Amino acid sequence: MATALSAKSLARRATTAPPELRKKPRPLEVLIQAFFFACGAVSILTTIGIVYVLGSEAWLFFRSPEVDLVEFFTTTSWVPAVGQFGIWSLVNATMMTTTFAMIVALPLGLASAIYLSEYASPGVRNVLKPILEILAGIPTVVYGYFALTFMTPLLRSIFGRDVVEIYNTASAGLVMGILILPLVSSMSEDALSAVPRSLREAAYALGATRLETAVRIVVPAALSGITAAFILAVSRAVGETMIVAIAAGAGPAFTFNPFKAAETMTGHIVRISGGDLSYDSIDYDSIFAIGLLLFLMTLVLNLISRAIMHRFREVYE
Amino acid sequence: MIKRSSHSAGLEPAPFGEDVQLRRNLAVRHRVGAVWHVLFLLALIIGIIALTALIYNILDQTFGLVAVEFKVPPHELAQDGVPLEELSDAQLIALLEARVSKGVLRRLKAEQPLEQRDREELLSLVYERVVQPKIVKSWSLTDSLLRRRSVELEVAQKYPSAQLQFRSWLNPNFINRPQSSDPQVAGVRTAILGSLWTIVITILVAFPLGVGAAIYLEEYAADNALNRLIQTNINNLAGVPSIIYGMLGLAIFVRALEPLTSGALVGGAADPTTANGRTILSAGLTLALLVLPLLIVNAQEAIRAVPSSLREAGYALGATKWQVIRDHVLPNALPGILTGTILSISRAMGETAPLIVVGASTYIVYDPYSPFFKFTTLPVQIYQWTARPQQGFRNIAAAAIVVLLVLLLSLNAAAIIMRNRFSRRLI
Amino acid sequence: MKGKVMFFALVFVTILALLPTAGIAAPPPQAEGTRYTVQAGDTLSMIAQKQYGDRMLYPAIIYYNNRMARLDKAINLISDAGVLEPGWVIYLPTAEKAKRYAELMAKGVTLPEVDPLTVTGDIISAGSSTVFPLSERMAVRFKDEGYQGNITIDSIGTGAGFERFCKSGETDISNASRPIKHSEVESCLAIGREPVEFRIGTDGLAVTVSKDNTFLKDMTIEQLAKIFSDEVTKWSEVDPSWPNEEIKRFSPGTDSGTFDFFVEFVMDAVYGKGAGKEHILKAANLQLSEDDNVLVQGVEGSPYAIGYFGYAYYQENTDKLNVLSINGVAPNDETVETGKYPLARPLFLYSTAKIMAEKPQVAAFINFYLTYVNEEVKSVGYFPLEAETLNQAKIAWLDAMGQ
Repeated sequence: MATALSAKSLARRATTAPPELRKKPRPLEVLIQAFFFACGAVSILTTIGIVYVLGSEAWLFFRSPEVDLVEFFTTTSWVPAVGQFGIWSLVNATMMTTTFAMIVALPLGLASAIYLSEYASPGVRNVLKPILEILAGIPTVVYGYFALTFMTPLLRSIFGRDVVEIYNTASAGLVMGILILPLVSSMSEDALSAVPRSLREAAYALGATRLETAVRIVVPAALSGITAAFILAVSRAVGETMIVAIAAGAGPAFTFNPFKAAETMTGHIVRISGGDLSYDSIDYDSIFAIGLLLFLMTLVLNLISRAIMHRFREVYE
Repeated sequence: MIKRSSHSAGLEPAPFGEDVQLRRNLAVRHRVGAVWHVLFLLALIIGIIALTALIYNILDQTFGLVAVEFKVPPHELAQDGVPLEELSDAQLIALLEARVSKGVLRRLKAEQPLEQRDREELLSLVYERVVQPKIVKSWSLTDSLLRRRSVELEVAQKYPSAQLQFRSWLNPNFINRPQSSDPQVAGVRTAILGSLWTIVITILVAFPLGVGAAIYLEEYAADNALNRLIQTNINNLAGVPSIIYGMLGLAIFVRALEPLTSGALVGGAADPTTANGRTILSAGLTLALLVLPLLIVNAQEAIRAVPSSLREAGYALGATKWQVIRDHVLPNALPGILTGTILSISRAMGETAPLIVVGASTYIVYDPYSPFFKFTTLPVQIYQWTARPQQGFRNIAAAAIVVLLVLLLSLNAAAIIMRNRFSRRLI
Repeated sequence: MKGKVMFFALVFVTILALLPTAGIAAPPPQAEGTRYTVQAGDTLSMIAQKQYGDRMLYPAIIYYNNRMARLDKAINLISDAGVLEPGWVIYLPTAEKAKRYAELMAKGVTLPEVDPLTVTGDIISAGSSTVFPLSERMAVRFKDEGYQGNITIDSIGTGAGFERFCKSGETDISNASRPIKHSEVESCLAIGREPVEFRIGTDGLAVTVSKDNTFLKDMTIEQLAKIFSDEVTKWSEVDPSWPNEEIKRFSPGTDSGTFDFFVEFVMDAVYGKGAGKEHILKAANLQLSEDDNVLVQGVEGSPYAIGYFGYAYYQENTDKLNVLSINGVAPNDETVETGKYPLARPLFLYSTAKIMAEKPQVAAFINFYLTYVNEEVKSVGYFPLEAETLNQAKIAWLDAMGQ
């Protein structure tokens, strides 16, 4: 039996078999594969484009006599108008808004996803999931003004008017979290729904409660999708422009106090590119350098998260 | 975990002979489960509350009381005791000739002589151009409904000659009219058309590219350096700020590919002498690049989640790779891909900064008839109107936001319905 | 393998195609008049007498000199007072131009009438977000009176507007809330565009405090500069009669023309040219903002807050804010128009003679704009120009059209 079914004999049978069973050459398959590869390669072209567009202007920035590379990476005061180029104040503000956004989006998003996928009936899920997705569609400009007109007064009423400034990174971050929530919840819910029912039923059969099944069986099985959602969420938070431009203020500041104004990297880029400064001023060139740094930062973040994800990913059949 | 104990104080007899410890443990686990059930529901409710707060904030500015003052009150235009509405056509025409500026009269007469216009038109012309109602103050919906008395007092004090009317800033005129510098007559017609055109191009380009890339990465790609690079690349691109995509779009689509995007190559340019690359096509392509990583990641996750037993069954029956993908993997991955599409459309429709860089105009009043026209979009208008000092602009910005959300829901509705039909639990 | 190599080679070639072309040195603008180096003891009326035989023609020298100074770095700007320094290079127009200027200024300029119904063709305009509402109003009126073509205006900021006008040559009219810089002029000249400046209005800067503020009505420039500097943190440090509370400062961001203007005319005036910026940016409790509407909210929120922004934003919020008079002068039509109120920003349109000749619709629109702008400017929130200044803009139009 073994020899009859050996690879060689099978292959021989394939080529000497009657025509209707022979392997047909299918040029379409190769074409389709090439097309799909091209689709994937578009992303490489995009990256090359971005690096080139940013790099060429950023090079002008770094090459100018006012900018010192060491100062750029080590000092904390970003005031280009007087020649101070320390990137850390912008990076710090970006980190702070991202942290607040993640505090809101990740737990709430994952919890909503678990509820929708494990506890809610299909009718309820089909209604609530799109409703949450509406949050993703509201323009970021609206969120920015929502942060100013609703979130900041709310924080001020909780923490006191003098503690919370009119611009602060906390309200921008919290509102950003609301924006990102549907991203996390929808993607996680998809991942959780895709876990084979057999796994759940096996868990129930062994006496697990609904919570235990959800948290100990389904979530780990869907971890790949959930982690992808988390990574996308962080990336989105780091790269968000309008909310922070409107709600976090226009003054770069190095502070760990979330109730003070501090301009983020993206806010700075948006503000300068739309302002009245001349296009050949040093401040204008700096936006490309910041953009490039942002690109590299998200790259590092992604590599780290992929490394973590690889260790915990589980594949079921 | 099951500890045998002879202690069985206070518990009912065990139907299956379970241990007391087990049943106590079970009660605890159920309690914990119930607590977390409530917490999960709470998370969902917080999201819904946030949404409600946002929508309420928006609607609050869209409807409300307004105080209207007239440049020339209607009663002053009555002639010999005959009120304005009952004046003869000839008298109305005389009124227009006397009071309306020369330039506007010239244009009105060139379009259609005043004598040939019907009475309705003449009356509305007189109302618009001579009476000139002007909104001097507007109130939010909450104020209009709950604090009506104090609003009336304020009007009596500060604007004694004004009339108080209830106005819906979102009305058919608003949707039909193009922009204007006067918030009372401004509309979002051009912005709606621009947004629609842009989003259609974005999805037409991004969907096939995104799904194609995802299929490649999940089904065909060997685990070599190039493919790992592509994968990392895509994850990275999702985090690039949208304005950088704007700069990229400017450099590539507006400048480098100008013959293509301006329509010169295909002879479709709106006005050949002023054609440049700042068209709907450039905007759509830029946004397509922006949402591509989002779509790809979603599609990838969806394809990855299809159990390989399904694929293997297909191969076992002699299907080729593409046949398995086309007939088994894609249909089952469709809900996830559609989620990605919904999230992408939502993202693309709300973008402001990259489109301004690519060249969305802030003031433009002609309808785009092809992808080679200049354009504006709803978020660009909203951003511009919220930055203006006059209160009326905030009201129409809110109305424009409502229009945007309705547009978004309709675009997403198709995808949502399809997703609901295709989503079912496998195995 | 070969396919992949070809693929990347194609990409590389595409990138090479994107490389910017080298800048070409621009020739200085052609001028019909003469250049003159000021000698010790020269006065304007003396020079006018020598050049034209009529000493009263000296305003023409100021006008044409300052127009040329915009385009050519070598020429010095002459102030309205007419003070000259020895060694300055100034530009003297031809006698014909000088006489014509005096005539037109004396009797007033009326531009040839434009019937918008007969104007066709597209106009592309971009630039300052401050000038945008005014240009939008004029464009709406132009269309309302029958303009047959299409006009688009992009509100992208003065700097970006000049980039499109001077570097890529995409726009016909550039809106600006500050005069064009010399580097921008050079870029323009390099692509064959010689910019012509049209002044169209004035934006007043309102320094405001909350309605709850009882101790401030008037301020000097020195006090204003001190309040916005890092030298003081409390009101009482500026004037002992003021409360002993921290100053809450609100200002537009560093990218804004309003900020630049404030630094140049308030901070630099007190602390020296170039030094003012550092003092304001190092001040404590300084909230910078992208959006003037938010500055309004910030100032209104505390009796110890002070902020400055465009007058239009104060005008819409008179029930919540008080505006301060500067050096005893309150901002209103008369004081801003005549220049008595010190904090008034000029607003400009820029185009070129060539564009106006090749695209008559652009000339027609600018004509229409200059003719009717004073009727519309108040409702937008800015201040009209004095007849004299408007006449000067109209003369620029006539010069550009060769009439």
